[in-house]
Amino acid sequence: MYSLRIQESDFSVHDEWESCRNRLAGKAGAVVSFVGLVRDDSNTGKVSSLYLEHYPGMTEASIERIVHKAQQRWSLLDVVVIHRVGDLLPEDQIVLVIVASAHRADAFAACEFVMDLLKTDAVFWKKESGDGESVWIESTLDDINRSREWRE
Amino acid sequence: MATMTSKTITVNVKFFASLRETLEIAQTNLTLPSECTVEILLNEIKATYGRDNASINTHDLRVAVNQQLVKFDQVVQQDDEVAIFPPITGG
Repeated sequence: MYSLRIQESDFSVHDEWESCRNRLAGKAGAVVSFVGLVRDDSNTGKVSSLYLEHYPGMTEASIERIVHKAQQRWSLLDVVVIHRVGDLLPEDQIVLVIVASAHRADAFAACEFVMDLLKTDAVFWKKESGDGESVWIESTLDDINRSREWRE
Repeated sequence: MATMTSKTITVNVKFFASLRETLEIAQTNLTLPSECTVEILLNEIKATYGRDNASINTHDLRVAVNQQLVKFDQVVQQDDEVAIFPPITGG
C-alpha cells in the first residue's frame, strides 16, 4: 500500500500521520515520518525563494519506482509521499515521507532510503533565487553519494 | 523516375526548467520527416528556437519519449510526446 501526491499546496503532517495510522488499524508497530524544509542558505548563497518544476506523469512514475524498490527491500505496510512544487519560501515544508511497518527497523531504513533516492531519482528541477539572481541548481555530490550507497 | 510522397509525422515537444527559459517556449507541435531520430529532432529545435545556438548544448540534455528516457538514436513516431530537459535535480 502506498500513496503519492504532487501538489502546490502545503500539507499537514498530523493529518497525514493520523490517516496513515487509521488505515493500518493496529497492524503497524512503527510509523516513521520525515519532513524536508526549505533552507534560507545553500552552496550558492542566500536563498529567498525556491521554485520546483515537475513533469506531470513522469515525476509520479519516478517516485513510484522508488517506492516499489523500498517495498521489495523491506517489509512495509504503507508508504506516503507528498511532494510540493511551485514557489516555496524558506521554512516551508517541501516533502513528506511516511513509512509504516510492523517493526521499527524496516520503517527507519525504508524512510531514509525513499528520501535519499528522491533527492537523486525523482524528476524535479529546482531553481533558487536570492541576492537578486536565480540559478537552476544541480544535485549535490553528497546527495549522489548517499543515493549510491543504497545501490551497492 | 517514380517519386514517393514523403511522409511526415507530428510530435508534441515539451521543454522543462532552464531549457524552457532559454528557448522561451514550454511546448510546441513539430512536423518532422518520418523515421526521424531524437538527434535530428534536437537539431531541428536548435535551428528553430536557438537564438544563440551555443547556449543549447545537446550533450547536456536528456530526452524522454512518452515519458521514458531514451537515447538520441531513438526513432520518434507520430503523436509521440517528446520531452527535452536538463539533468534532473531531484526532490
